[in-house]
Amino acid sequence: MSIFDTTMRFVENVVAPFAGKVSAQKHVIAVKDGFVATMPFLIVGSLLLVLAFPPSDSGFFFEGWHALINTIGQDNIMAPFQVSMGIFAIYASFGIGFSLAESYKLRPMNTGMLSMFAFILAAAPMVSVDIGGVLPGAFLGGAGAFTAILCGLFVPEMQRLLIKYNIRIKMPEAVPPKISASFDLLIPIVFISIIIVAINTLLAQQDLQIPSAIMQLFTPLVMASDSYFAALLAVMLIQLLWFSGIHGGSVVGGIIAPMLLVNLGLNQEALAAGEALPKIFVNPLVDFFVFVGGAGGTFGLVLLMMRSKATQLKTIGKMSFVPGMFNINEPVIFGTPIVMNPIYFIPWIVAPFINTTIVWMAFKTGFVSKIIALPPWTMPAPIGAVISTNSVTAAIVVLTCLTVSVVVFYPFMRVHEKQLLAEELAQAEKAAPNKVKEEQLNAIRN
Amino acid sequence: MKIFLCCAAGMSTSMLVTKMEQAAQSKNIQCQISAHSVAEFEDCIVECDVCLVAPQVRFKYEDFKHEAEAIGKSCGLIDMMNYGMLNGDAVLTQAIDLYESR
Repeated sequence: MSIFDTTMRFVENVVAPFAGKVSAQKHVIAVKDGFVATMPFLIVGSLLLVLAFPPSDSGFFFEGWHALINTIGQDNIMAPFQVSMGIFAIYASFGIGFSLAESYKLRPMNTGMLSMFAFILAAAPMVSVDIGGVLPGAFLGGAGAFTAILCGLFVPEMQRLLIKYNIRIKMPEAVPPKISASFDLLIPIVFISIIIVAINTLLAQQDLQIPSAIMQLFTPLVMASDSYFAALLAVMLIQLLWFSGIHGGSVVGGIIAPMLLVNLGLNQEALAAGEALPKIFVNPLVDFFVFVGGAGGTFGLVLLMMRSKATQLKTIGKMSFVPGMFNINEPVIFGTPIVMNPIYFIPWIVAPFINTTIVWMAFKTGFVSKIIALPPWTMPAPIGAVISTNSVTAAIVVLTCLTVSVVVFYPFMRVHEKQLLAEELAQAEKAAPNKVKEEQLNAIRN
Repeated sequence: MKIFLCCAAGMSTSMLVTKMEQAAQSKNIQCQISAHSVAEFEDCIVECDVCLVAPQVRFKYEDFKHEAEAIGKSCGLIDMMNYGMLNGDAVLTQAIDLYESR
């Protein structure tokens, strides 16, 4: 059995079912959906941050940019950023609790609020100052992401336990259900208050707080997530899943999203504080750099197919050009097809491998400044890359990746093209044998 | 007849929806077709008659089929080639067959 067959069997029998199970798991879905719900806030918020910090001071364009900031006021631009991206963990805690409650058929609104209550109590107990008390913001953004996840998952589970053991305030039958539902929350709120305040008091003896303790616990994971090998592993897993026809991005992305958001949050905090940006691996690294034109970086292949002599490839190439500009490439993956097609296995793995390496080097050497914003993944790759890093050199890296894809895919596309042309010829011969023969003879004569 | 297609984000299926609508119009078939993400399945299946699952999220297919059939609706999996070539005609026929075979 060849290596290819072994790999394919492994993907089909082990990786795909496992990924399917993981991505259908209730808690994984709740975390993913909770974060997805915060995305619009993160997108707008992070773009405002780009607006507030021009990459350069000199030049006509940047002087104009600075003038614009001075007119609006930097604080005014930063205000919506601070209450969106800056405290996104609050939104996430609500969203995660809400989603998990939905799948447990609890009341999502109640559970969402309860999760948010648990999170704020754990991460930002109010401090009283002259202006009437403030919520400390240190752990409400990226640094609080893991705490938000734990609160969002813990609260619905605790509610289920309370329901299971029938610990609740019983109302007479005559009380309308809506009103008795509001009483259902009283006991959980008391429980959560006691548990969280107690833990925080215990941790305070060690100069810790729930979120800082959780961050310490997760530090190895966050450190490991920001490495070349982590990025490569994520990309390769996405590639293998797509090759077996499964949406790799949604499976892998759902699992690594929290870590990448922590990375993004840390970069943004560093930028706002005027420090060097610490992290490299944030979603745009994959979305706009490695995957130009969609998973696998298929835009290069689309350009090749548009000029192909084989009708099938040409049709798909033309059809996929516009969607490809917005990083949508299902027609390419399923139409070419790339899925389970032995011809494309090598370029499908090799091109993103080379590109991940190039992109990582570009960030590591400082050729491109690190990612600070999160444009929607459907933004055309060069534009998304420039906006997410706020540096024009990003476009050069994107074009390099595109070139690599074209070069790596070219010989394999030619093999496929030859096969298809032979098939087309055979079919035409069946339909009109004499005409084809004549054409062939003509071709030989000329 | 109300049909909905679902994939990861509802983006690529929306291209197929356009093709299916064209096919329906040329065949004079009355139907409403829409694209959604898998997260929206539970709400959509109540509203619609037929659900078609895109091949890249086929790990959801068994669950969805089960849920759909439990409330007397139908659910099918779109063929990879038809999906890739955006073959609106074939997918519409599949939806109609599913609807009629309930």
